[in-house]
Amino acid sequence: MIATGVKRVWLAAGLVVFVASLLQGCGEKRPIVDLAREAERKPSTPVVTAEPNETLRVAVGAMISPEITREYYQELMELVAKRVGRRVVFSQRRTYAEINELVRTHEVDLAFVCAGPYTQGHEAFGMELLVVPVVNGQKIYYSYILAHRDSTIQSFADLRGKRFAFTDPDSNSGCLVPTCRLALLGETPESYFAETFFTGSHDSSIKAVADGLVDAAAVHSLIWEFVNTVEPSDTARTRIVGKSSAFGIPPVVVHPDLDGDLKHRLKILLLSLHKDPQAIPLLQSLQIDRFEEGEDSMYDSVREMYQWLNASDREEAP
Amino acid sequence: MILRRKIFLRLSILLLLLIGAIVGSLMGFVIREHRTESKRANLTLCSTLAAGIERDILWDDRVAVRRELMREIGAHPHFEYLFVVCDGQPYVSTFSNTVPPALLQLPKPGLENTFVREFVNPDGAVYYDVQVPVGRAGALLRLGVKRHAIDQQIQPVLSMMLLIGLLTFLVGLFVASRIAWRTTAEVTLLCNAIRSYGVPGEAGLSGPTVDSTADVAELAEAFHNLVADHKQAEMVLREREAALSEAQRLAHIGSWALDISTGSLMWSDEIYRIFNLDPGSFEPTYEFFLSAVHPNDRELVDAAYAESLKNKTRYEVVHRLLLSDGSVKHVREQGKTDYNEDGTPLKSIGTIQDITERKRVAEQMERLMAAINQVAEVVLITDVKGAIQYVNPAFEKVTGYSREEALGQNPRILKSGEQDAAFYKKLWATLLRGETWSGLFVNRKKGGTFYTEEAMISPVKDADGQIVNFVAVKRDVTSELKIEEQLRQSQKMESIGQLVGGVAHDFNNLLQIINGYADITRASLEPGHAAIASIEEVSKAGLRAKDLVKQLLAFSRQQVIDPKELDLNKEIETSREIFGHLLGENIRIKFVAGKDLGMVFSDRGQIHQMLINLCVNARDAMPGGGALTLKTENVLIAPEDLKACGLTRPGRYVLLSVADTGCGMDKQTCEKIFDPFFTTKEVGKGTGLGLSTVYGIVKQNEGHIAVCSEPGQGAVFKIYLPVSQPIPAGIINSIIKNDASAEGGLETILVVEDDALVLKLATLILSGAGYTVVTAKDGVEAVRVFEERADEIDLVMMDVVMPRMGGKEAMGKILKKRPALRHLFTSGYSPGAGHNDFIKEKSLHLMSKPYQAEALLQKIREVLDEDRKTEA
Repeated sequence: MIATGVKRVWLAAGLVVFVASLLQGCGEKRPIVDLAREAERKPSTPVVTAEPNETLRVAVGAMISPEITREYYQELMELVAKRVGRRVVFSQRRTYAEINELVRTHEVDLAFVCAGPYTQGHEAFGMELLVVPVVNGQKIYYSYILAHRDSTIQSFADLRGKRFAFTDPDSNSGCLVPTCRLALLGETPESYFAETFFTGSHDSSIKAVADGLVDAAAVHSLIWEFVNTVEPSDTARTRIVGKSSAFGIPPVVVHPDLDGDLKHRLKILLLSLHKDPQAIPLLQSLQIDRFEEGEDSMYDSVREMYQWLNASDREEAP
Repeated sequence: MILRRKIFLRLSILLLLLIGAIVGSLMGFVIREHRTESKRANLTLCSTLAAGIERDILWDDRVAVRRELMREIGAHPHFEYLFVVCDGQPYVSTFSNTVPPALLQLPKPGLENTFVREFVNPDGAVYYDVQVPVGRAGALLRLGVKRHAIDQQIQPVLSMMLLIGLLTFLVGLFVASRIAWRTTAEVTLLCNAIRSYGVPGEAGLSGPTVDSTADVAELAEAFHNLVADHKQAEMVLREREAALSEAQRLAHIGSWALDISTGSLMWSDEIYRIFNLDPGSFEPTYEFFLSAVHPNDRELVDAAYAESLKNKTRYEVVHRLLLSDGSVKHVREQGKTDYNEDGTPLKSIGTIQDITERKRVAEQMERLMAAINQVAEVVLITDVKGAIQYVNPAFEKVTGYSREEALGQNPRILKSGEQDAAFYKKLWATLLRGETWSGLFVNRKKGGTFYTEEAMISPVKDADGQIVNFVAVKRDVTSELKIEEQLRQSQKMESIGQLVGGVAHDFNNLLQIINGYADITRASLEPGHAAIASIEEVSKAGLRAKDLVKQLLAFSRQQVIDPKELDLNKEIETSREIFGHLLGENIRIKFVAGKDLGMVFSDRGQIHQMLINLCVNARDAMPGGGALTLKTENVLIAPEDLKACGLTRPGRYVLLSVADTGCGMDKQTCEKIFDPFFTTKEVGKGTGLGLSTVYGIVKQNEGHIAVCSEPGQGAVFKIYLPVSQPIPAGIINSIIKNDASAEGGLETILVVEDDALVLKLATLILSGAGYTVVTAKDGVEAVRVFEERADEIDLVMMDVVMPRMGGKEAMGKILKKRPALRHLFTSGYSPGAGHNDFIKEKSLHLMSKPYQAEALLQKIREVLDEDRKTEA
């Protein structure tokens, strides 16, 4: 009888080991989530949407890659919004045109735009120049033609038959200037280059040259300087083979119909921002000395170039 | 073959468990590892995707983000969902509608934004929820993967593992069967060889022939030798078992063994015999055994066994068996239990002994001893040399020696010296002849008091006829002898009393006639007649004779008395002057009167006579003068004091002590002092009736008299008289009428008297006083006369003792007709418990014979005037 009992114990023990080994890890406590149960329908609230009276909606044109833009601009804009008693809603868009559209439709209160888009916006709906940044003591910038450090390209003339990178179709330095230059030569990008790309931003174009994805690219001089500071490994692998004449620095703009009081407060704030101890390090990281009053005439050269280019396009059109 | 099957089965089970455990563990390990790897891979996928959509999010290009997410879902079938959260709100998701809220509320496992957590859907499916941050876009990408889908990925691997496990098991089964076969092959061979032995019990074993390995052949040979030895040992064992069985039968002891694990019980043949059962007729069980135990002992037996198991001790219990035929047996049961190493009881063994006969003898002995210990007779046993070996409690009580003091001593410790050497010589001669001696001893108690015992001493002989002990059965008869003596004395006094009483009664009637007629004759003579002097002498002698008869009647307690409530102190004070005259000047009288002395119900005349007789006795004891002290006191006699006081009834008594300082008496004189006619005086100086009269009076009053005296030490008489009950009404009336003057009347009186002369005398007295007298000679005639002249008769005077119909019965019949009729009884005596006791009980009127004419007339008038007095 006792022997029978011992046998049963052995058998039971074996089964326990067997089952336990199969069920190992099954005893954890997990929360219950009903995947079939949906949330109540609410109006979609995009990340850029906020209450107009409580937020300061800021957009930055895609001059640099959106990641870097966000990294460097977000904090500064938060401070600006805070100084005017608001919460910032930070927006970026793939193209310059989209930023201009946000300004036009009052979806943003304040925007950092490139020189080209400014002239276009100004012309389209009276985009208003609020202030301009002063970088390295100047309110100008250039279009650089970059080639890989190790390439044989020495000048713009060496670019024929090469792969070339533009930034944005509306970019002054990244697209308009080289296109205009080709136009002067009677060429088009398609005729002159073997292959062209739009990288979307200047730092992407720099990286594309540095990585050898393209043979050359046209970029914003201040962006190149900025990347040269924050990511020198990229710029180190490039070489500037061409430089345009100076253009007015990309401005800070608002819609002409923006609430006057806000517009005024923003302008005063930005003009004195370099005196704000909290803003100083943020401005320094963006390599901006301060903000100053700007003049629309600063962009006449750009405006002229556009007009010329458009005119030449019309002439060429059938 | 069972062994082969067992080995195969056990190996199979072992194999199954082993393979099961290994395959199970491996599968568990593979599943766990795969899941861990999947989590890691999903994290990577998610991170890659996050990097891919970062820019679209920064550009707020939801379409692009959604497109990307949908593309990923399509590319990875095991992805359940993908969605992006910005600022805690769903941004883009692959859900057809909205993101389930519970998903957004899942607890965050840590501070990091990259992690995998698990949740369970209500359908039971477990999900992995992977979360990664989307670069610098401030968003989170969430990926949901169903664990089942992950597990499905390795399903083929798991199936393969199960298949391998199954194949391994099958191979193992084959190996196990081979092992079982190989292991038991030799044993099978050996078994076959053993089976080749002849039928058990046959003489001459032939060795088995084993065609096998040397080992098995050797084993078979050894087995052969073992069987031979076993047979031999079995034979010896059978012989011993037979011897043991016989021994058990003789000793009435049976043995048993209980296998606790199986519950099987083995009994030896003797136990079957004890239980009146046929050996082997059935299989005994513990329950059957318990059912045979007497119901009153069952709990005891079960408890004793359970207790021994609990304490791991031996047990012994004596109990009864109630057998199927109704007979009861007494058995002594003993047992013990063997245990294994961990204390589990294995087997109990023990014995049952039939002690019924022994018990019966012991009980008889106990009864015998109880009887000897409880009897009132002294039982004493000595050895042949006379050393006391046993005494019972009665011995201790009678002799005062304790058992411990007596044992080992010689019975001569009780020797009083009252028996001479010849007495003992004769005693021993009788005993040594082997005969029983019986007789009386006067022995001495431990305290020195002598006592008389009636003894019967017998020699006790052994089987060879040799005397080994003497046993004495003795009884203390001291009290009995004393009582016998008292009875003898009492009977003697009673006989004398009856003799005296009988003579005195007849003599009284004669005196009544002599004195009556002397009075009548004297009255009829003219004054100065010569015969008057002679008649007066006759009257004087008659009166003296009357006194003498009165004393005799007092002694014989047949004196007619008229008892009343008396204060003894008062009576003594009243008589003190008379005592002075009686005692003379040389004797001083001292009276110590008891305070609040109880009343006694006695005849005043008797009390006076008793006092005078005692004084006279004292005077005679103090011829040269001395002192007489009378003392009265109340005493209360308790039941236990009755014997010492010589009284028969407990209660309140008045004790009268009369002490003199006279010459005193020796013991013999004291014993006879109350005998009638016993006197120490010279012939002619006394009647010898003085103290006898006192004795009679005391006894008639239900009292007791005792004397303490020694020669030269004076004497003290102690008289106990019972304190009376409340005074009956009749007695009070009689007291009142004592004052009435004697006078005659005109009423009619029925006089009933069997003695013609007495009747005539009464008629003369009553008619002379003016009464009309009607007579009757007995009760019958009285009833008849009353019936005839009922209206005339005012009073009936009736003798108590008459022929044909006595006074009591006749008066009863008359009173039935006229209950209010006045009546009185006359009586010459009262013989003990008879005749006139009813008069005393009912407080009726009584006229004692002989009566004076004046006394009779006074009594008649008293009875007739009773109502008038009461009314007055």
